[in-house]
Amino acid sequence: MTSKVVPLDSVKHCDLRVKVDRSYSHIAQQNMVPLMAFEFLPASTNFPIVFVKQSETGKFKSVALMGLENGENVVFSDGKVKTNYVPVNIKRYPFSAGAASADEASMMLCIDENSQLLNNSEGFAIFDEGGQPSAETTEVTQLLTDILARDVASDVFVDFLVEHNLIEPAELTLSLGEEGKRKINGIYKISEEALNELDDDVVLQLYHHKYLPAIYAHLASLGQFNRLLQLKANFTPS
Amino acid sequence: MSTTIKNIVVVGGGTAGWLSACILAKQLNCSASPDVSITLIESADIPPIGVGEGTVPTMRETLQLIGVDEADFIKSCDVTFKQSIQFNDWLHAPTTNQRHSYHHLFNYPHTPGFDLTPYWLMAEKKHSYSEYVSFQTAICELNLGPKRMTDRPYQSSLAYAYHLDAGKFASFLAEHGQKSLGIKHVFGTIADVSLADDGSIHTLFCQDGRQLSADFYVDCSGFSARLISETLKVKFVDKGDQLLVDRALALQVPYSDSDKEIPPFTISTAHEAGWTWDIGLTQRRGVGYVYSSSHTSDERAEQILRQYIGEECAGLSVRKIQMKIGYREKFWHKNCVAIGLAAGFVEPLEATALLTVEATAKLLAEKLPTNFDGMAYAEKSFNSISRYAWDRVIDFIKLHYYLSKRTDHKFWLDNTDPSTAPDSLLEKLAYWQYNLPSASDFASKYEVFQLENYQYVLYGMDFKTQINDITSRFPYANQADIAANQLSQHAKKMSKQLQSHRKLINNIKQYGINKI
Repeated sequence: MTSKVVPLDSVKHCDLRVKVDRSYSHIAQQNMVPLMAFEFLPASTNFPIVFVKQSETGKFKSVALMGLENGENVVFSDGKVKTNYVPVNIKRYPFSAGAASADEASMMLCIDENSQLLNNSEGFAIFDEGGQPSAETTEVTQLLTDILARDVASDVFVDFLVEHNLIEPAELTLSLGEEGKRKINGIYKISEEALNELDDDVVLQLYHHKYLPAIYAHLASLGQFNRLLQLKANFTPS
Repeated sequence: MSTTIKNIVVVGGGTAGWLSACILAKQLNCSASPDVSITLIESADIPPIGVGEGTVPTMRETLQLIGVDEADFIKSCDVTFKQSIQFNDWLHAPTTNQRHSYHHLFNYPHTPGFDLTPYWLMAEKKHSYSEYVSFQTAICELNLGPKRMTDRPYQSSLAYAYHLDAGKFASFLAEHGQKSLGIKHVFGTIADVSLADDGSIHTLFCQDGRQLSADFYVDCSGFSARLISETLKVKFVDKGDQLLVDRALALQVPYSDSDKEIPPFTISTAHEAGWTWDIGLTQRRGVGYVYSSSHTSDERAEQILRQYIGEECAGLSVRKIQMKIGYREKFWHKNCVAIGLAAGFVEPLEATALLTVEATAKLLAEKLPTNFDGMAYAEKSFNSISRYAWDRVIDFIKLHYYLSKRTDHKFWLDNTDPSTAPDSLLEKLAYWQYNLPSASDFASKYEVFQLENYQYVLYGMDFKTQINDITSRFPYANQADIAANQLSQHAKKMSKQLQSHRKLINNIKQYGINKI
């Protein structure tokens, strides 16, 4: 079912409860999820981190890749979780942060009304009996406020990479056994060559902005394409 | 003695002048060669005509060639995208319940290994020709932009060109040409021109007493043709007997609603004694009526134009433009080449004005000899190519009129009289009555309009190629069906990936175009 993200409404949503699903099955048919720069290190030993262009703006966004084609996820599938790191953008579901208005930084808590996790009997209540956000909801609000700021910081990081011509198309051909070779289009990576040719003052900026760990985590994570291939080889869609 | 050609003066600061100067400066690598110079002289007293708002897809190559940033260009010149020209009422005069319309798309007809045209001719006409052979028709009708935000500058799976504000485009090119390409710019109105002993141009004398001398001159002075006509006396070949329109009334109509969808194509609508262009830019529409002054009065023409636009044009005044239809007997004479309106003009029907500027300037950049020894051959070759190209452009423009079945006005009767059509067009049409047009009918690469352009107009205008007696030559009916189905599937898929035209423009203005 397609998602229907709406601002949380204490009247309309007063009886709703959220089931907790530690297998994160909502992501099972999605092959990528936005990943923020601070997550690169823990994510890098689990899946490839790449940059993709967003359809609305054409701007780059960093993502964790969890499948090799549209609709495929070999990391979260069959109720199993084959990673030791779960990206924040998966954990937060079915909640999300929306900007209250275009020119304002304040956060508005949103929810996917079509989420399978929502019901009237199981899981934690979104609002308590007094119509106030429950303890869990307050916690999620805090997490998302944090995300919003870190998401902005990630965009600044990506802008820095673009500005210094560090991003290039990733030309990737995967051997898929009997299926032969497949070329993967539309993903981008940091150019090691460009990185090695940076002027000293830019390198110093990378250091002071604490971008270096994310950059090398990204480069190291590209080795995880092989892990996706391995998982895919043992993966039989239900 | 053989002097190297190093210094060029371009006369005229309209789009033709700046575009020519930019193309020449790029090809001669002016900014890196201290001894080569291009100077553009512009009169502050003579305003440019400034109505050329339509382009064709070669403009993408040209802008890329001269190093223009596509997003900057789109932001600076009120640019919108153009994927087609929609021709309304050209085949029949409209009735209250029926109007004829067809598209001349920029995407060439799809060819799944063979020409789909005969299969369209044999099939029941459920689809128009352009619908049958390209998914771009559907994209146009849905008012969608031709590219995704993830596509790089100038790249897309759909062919496109631009609509632009001609005045802003000239200023944009002026800035780019000076900043990035090393073009020198001077203001001055030419008062007098002196000739050398051999009849070539020696010196330009400005009203303020300044003098300009160069090895070579490019005349982009518009209809006044300051050098090629006034000084060098090269004659004008009038083509008014074939293309009958000679006047235009133009209006700029601001949008009443700034969120209004913008058609991603030019709308050309035929009327009793001419046709209207209708071009949607970001802030306004450019609308004009092109007509024949020997078939209608200016008053009646204004009435037609205002009726077409409706109440939105109340209070707006029209600009009248006189047009000389035809071209120079020679485009290159001695050390002077004319480009743009100074070289020739055929009504704006297929956006040929800027198109011929691009083509001619590129040809000049290619043909400009190293030294004066090469001049005579370059002149001869350039003139024969250019003349051929102009004649073919006239054939193609005339085709639009000649295929009409309108009888509602003497204008249309005259236009469909064979005596007003060039023989080169008539002989092709006679052949195509029983034979499919093919690439070999357009053998020269200097023909601006090729097979695919003709196919859209011929079959959009219901031209009947009789292939009933040779149907056995076309055995791929099943494959053609499959291809046509795939095209309509592809149209559905693409329509989900593409944004509305207005939204695409807004997004490009906000986010730019990702270059990586």
